[in-house]
Amino acid sequence: MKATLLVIEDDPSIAHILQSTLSLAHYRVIHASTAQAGLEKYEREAVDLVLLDLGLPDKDGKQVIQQIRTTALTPIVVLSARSRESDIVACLDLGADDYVVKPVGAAQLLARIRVALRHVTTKEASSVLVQTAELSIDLSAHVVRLSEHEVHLTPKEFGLLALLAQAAGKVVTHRKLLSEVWGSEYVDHSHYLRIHMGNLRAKLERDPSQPRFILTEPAVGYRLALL
Amino acid sequence: MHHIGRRWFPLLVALLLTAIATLLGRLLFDKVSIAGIAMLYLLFVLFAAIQCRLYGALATSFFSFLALNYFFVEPLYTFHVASAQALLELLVFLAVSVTTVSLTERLKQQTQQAVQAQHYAESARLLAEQLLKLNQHADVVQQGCQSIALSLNAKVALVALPQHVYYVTDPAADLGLDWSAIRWVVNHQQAMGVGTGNWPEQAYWCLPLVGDSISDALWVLPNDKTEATLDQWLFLKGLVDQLSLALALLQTRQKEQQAIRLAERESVQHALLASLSHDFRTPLTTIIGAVTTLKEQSLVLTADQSSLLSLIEVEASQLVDDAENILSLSRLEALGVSALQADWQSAEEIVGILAARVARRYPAMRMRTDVDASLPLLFVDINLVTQAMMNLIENAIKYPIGNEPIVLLAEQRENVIVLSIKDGGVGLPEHVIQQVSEKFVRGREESAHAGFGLGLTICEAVAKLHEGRLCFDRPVSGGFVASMCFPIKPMPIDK
Repeated sequence: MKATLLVIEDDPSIAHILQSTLSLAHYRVIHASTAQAGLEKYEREAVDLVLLDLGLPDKDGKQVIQQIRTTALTPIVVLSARSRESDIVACLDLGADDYVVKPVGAAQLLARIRVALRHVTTKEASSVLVQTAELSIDLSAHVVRLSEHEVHLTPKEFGLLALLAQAAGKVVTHRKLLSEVWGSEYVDHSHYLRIHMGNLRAKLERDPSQPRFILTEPAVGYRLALL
Repeated sequence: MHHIGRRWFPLLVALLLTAIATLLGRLLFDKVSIAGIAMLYLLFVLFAAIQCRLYGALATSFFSFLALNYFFVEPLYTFHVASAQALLELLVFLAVSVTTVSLTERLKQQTQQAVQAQHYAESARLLAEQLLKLNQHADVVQQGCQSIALSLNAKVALVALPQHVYYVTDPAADLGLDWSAIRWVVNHQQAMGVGTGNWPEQAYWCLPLVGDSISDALWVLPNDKTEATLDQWLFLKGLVDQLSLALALLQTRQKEQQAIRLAERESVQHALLASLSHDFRTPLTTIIGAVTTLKEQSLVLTADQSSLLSLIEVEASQLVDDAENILSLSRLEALGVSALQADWQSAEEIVGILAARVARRYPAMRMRTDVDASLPLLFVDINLVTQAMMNLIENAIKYPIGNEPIVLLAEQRENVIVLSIKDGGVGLPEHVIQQVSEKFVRGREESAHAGFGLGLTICEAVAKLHEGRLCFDRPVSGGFVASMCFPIKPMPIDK
């Protein structure tokens, strides 16, 4: 049996599409059309992932994230018609795992859900090794290999890569990267991030202008692709 | 008769005063010295100086001198003077009395000037207060002209070149308007008439009116020609300054109100477009979700059915882009530069984002990137720039692009960073390049491709907001290049 997904979405057509898309992918789907009903169902059922719309009739979706995060680390994927980055960043800072901006194709949505669920399993295995076909990152040994060749990274570059690797497949916000690698007083120094990311890509990517590992989420953050 | 009386009256008063002084002097002649009598006369001269005009006071002074000589200086009842001592006394009396008169006169003039200055200032202040309450141009003009006419006892007209009388206080009267004089005043922006230094012999004043877009000059003709004096000119100038100020203020106020109305209209428009584009997204999400889900279901479809399904997806995505473009453009138009959320961005990342979007949307498209790795960072709004560049890319794809792969370029040229899309096709028609800034211009009249023509307008608006440029080029090697240029900004210096 695959995972149980709680879909909190007020628009009936979108809810319908989501239900059939997710059911086809063999997920068990529970639907709620208000924040209140969603939170009640979340308490009652063993939910593996929450797919959350932000513009709900009774509450802002952000409040739902806050409420869930007070007790649990259940992955939350935000589904929103708002493309305003400030909203997205706020959700991620509140503890959402990922976001998808409407309209979104079924393939992309399913991929994001898979990543969010996989992340739970890697976290449980408390792995310190991120391994893809070409790139391997050993967080405990501080070793990064690209096609079996060790890549020398500066401490800042390794710090950035480590943060992305710990959340592999998920977006990590600019704010988080800056405050963890440089310190909280540097959260506005976005140029540091751009320059070091550029250097990191130059060392890891075959063509840094078409990156395969470190993907850019415009105005939000970066994501380490799981190939 | 009246005129004659006016001229002789001061002399009569002078004679009368002298007579009284003489009478009193005669009564006291035995008891006081000649110096005492002289003091008595001086007292009357002083009275005349205070109460009468200069003419009468001087006459009193002169008559007193004669009377003192005739009635009190030896030999009596003659105008002869016996001793040098007496002559000196008489001359001293004359000098003292004339000095008294002139000093008193000067004091009187100064007092009068002070009173008048206060009156002028008060009148100007009152006028300013009255004008400030009015909201209509015509009302301000009427009130201003009438107040000036009343204060100066004159006829006033507001005129504009070439020969337009905008307002006149006394329509029946002949103002003797001289259009060549008015033209001179307007061209030189200097006043004309008494006290102005320009044609002071004229019986009228003509002043340029600043702060008014409807009329050019004010024509003031005193009802009494003798009232065209320097004092009156100063008075007039103060009043006209107030009128000019009131008109300028009114104009500013009207502009402000207009700006507020415009802003309100724009914000309504913006809200409408924003909710429209938001409302578009929900059904589009359903459509795109439904189509992609159908595709996931590995249904057995004919090639035709399958392409119809893809068509729904492509066209729905196009609608999403259109809604996004409308939303962005309305934001840019409503907010201007404040719509920008600029941050330091790398050209390499921007190209990377664009390449990823192209690959996702047009998997069959052949594409190459060419980025100079040493480029400085750009200070731009990443969303607007990628949206604008995406529009340029979509344009390239809409028109035949030949067999070459499209190339996404980022390079530095002098003090700008240039992001370009190069394709091997014919590119945009010349007339579109010409009209690029106009909204809703589509590349081809009968174009089979979707799009409201908003794409290029957004590109240009985004370039402009970043102090950059949008340009097109047909290199000799062939193909078409569409570029956005952004100025290089100095990077923040670390502490």
